[in-house]
Amino acid sequence: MRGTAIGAALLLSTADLGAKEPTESPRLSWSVETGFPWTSVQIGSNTSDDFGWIVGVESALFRRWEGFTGVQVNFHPTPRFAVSLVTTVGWIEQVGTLGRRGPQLAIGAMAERDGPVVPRVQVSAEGFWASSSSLPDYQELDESVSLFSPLTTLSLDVALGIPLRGRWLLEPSMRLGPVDGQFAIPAAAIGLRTHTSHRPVHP
Amino acid sequence: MTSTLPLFLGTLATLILAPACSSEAPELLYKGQPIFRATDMHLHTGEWSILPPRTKAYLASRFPFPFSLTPEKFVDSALSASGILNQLDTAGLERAVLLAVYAPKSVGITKNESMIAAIEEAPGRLFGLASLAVDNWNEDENEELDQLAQALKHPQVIGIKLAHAHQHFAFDDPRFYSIYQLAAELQSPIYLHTGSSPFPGTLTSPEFTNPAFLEEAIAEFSETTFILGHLGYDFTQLDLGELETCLKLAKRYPNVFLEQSAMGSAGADPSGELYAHSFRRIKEEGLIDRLIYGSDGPQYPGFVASYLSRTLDAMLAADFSSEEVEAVLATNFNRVFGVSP
Repeated sequence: MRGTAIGAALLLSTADLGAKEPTESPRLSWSVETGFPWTSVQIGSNTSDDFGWIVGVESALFRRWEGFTGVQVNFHPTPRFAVSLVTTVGWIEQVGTLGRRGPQLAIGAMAERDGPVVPRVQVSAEGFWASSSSLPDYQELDESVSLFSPLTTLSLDVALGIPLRGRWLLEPSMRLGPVDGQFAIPAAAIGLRTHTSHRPVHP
Repeated sequence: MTSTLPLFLGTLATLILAPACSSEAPELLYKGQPIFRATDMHLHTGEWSILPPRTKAYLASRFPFPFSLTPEKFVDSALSASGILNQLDTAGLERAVLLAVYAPKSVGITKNESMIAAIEEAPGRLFGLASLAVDNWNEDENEELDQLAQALKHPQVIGIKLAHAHQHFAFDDPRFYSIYQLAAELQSPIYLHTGSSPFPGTLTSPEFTNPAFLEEAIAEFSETTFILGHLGYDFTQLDLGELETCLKLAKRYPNVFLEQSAMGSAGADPSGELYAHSFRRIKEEGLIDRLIYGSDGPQYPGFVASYLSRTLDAMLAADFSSEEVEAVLATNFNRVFGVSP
C-alpha cells in the first residue's frame, strides 16, 4: 500500500511543479545567492525526473571557499510537494588567520512546497577533514579542531521563494547552525533560482 | 560553542547599544547604591598586526563564525583607546588601566610607547602600567630598567606589569629582583600574572605560575607592592589553581594585593560558582581591602560590561555590602596606586 502510494506520487510528480515539462530532461537549473556571510553559485541537471547532479561553489566573506559536486534524488509525495536527498564531495579552502583546507563530505535533505509562494526547508550535515594551511601547530590549542577528525557543520536552511516571471524564484533565506563545530551567527541571503523541484541542493 | 554564545550576544549588544551609550556613562549600581569612580585595572591595548601568529589564531578561534574569518577588524577596534572608552561607558566604569606587554614568545608586544599613546587620549580616565623586555636580560638589564623608569615618569603611568609565565622568567629568579627594587624606589606597584594561561607559548611550570615561588621576593622587598593577578586561577584546567596560596600570601604580607580578572568570564567559569567562591574566601579571610577589580578585557565587544556584571553577581552571591564593592571597584585602587579619588 505504502509502495503504491509513493509510486503514485512519483508518477503524479511528472505533472507537478518540478516536472512541468518532463520531456525536456535533462535540463539545467541554476541558483545564485548572496548575503551575509555566504555567496554561492550552483548548477544542477536532472538526468531523469528523479536523479540529478549538482556542482557549485560557495564562499563566506570570500575567505572561506567551498567547491563541491554531487548527486541528488528527487521524490514527489504529492503534486505540489517535493523532497530531495543529496550527497556531495568537495574541497574547502579557508584563508586568513584560521587558514584551513581539506576535503569535505556532506549529506542533506530538502523539502519544498509549490504554491503562490514556495517555502523550503533544508537540513544538512558536513564533515570537513581540515588541516591548517598557515599554522601547522595552532590546532593543538583547541580541542575542537584536530588534524584528522572532521569538523562538523550542521545547518538548517529556511527560505521562502517568490515566483517571478518565467521560471525564476526570488528567495530570501536564513541559515542556522554551527560551522566547523563553532557557534555561527545566523546567516541571511537573497537568492535567485530556477523554479523547479530539481533545483540544485547543496547540503 | 558555550563560550562563544555570550561572545556573540555581547558583540550584538555592543554593536546595537554602543552608539546610544557612548555619550553618557550609565550609573553603576549595586544593591541600589551608586558606585562612584569604578575602575577596571586590567585592560589591554595594542594592534592586531603585532600579535604573534599563534595568538592571532587563538583569538580568532574565540570569535563566532563568520567573525572568526575577519578577526582583525574586531580586535583593532576593541583594542583602540576609543574602543576601550566605549566599553567603559557601556559598563558604567569611569576609569581604566591599560597594560604594556613584552611577551614576544606568547601573547605579543604592546610597547610602553603604544600604551602611553592610548592613555594620553583620555587623561583622568585612562592610566597605564609600563613593562619591560626580559628576553636578553643578562645584557640588557640596565637599559631595560632605565627605559622602564623613564616610562614611569609619565603622570598617567602608575605602575609596572609583569607576566612571568608569558615572559618566560621565574618568580624566584634573583636576576630579576632589580625590577622589584626599582619598583620600591619609585613607589610603583607591580602587577603580576599568577596561575596558568590559555595562551600558546606560555610556560606552565610552577616557578612561572605558582605565586608561592614569589614569596622570597615579597619578603625581601617589603616596600614593593605586589598585586597577584587572576588570583592564581588555572585557566587550562579551569579550576581555582593557587587561590589559597594567593590568600595566604596576602594574609602574611601587607605588601600583597589581589586582582581577580579573567577567571570569572563565561569561558573560564561558566557557572560563576568558582568566582563566587573566590569572593567568599576573600571575605572570610578579611582581605576585601586588598582586592582591586580588573577584567582582562577588552577581548571582544561587550566583554568589559559582561565581566563587570558577572563580578557584581558573584559579589552579591558572596554577600558583599555596597561599601565592600566600592572598595574593590574604586577605593582600593585609589589607595594602592595613589590616584586621587
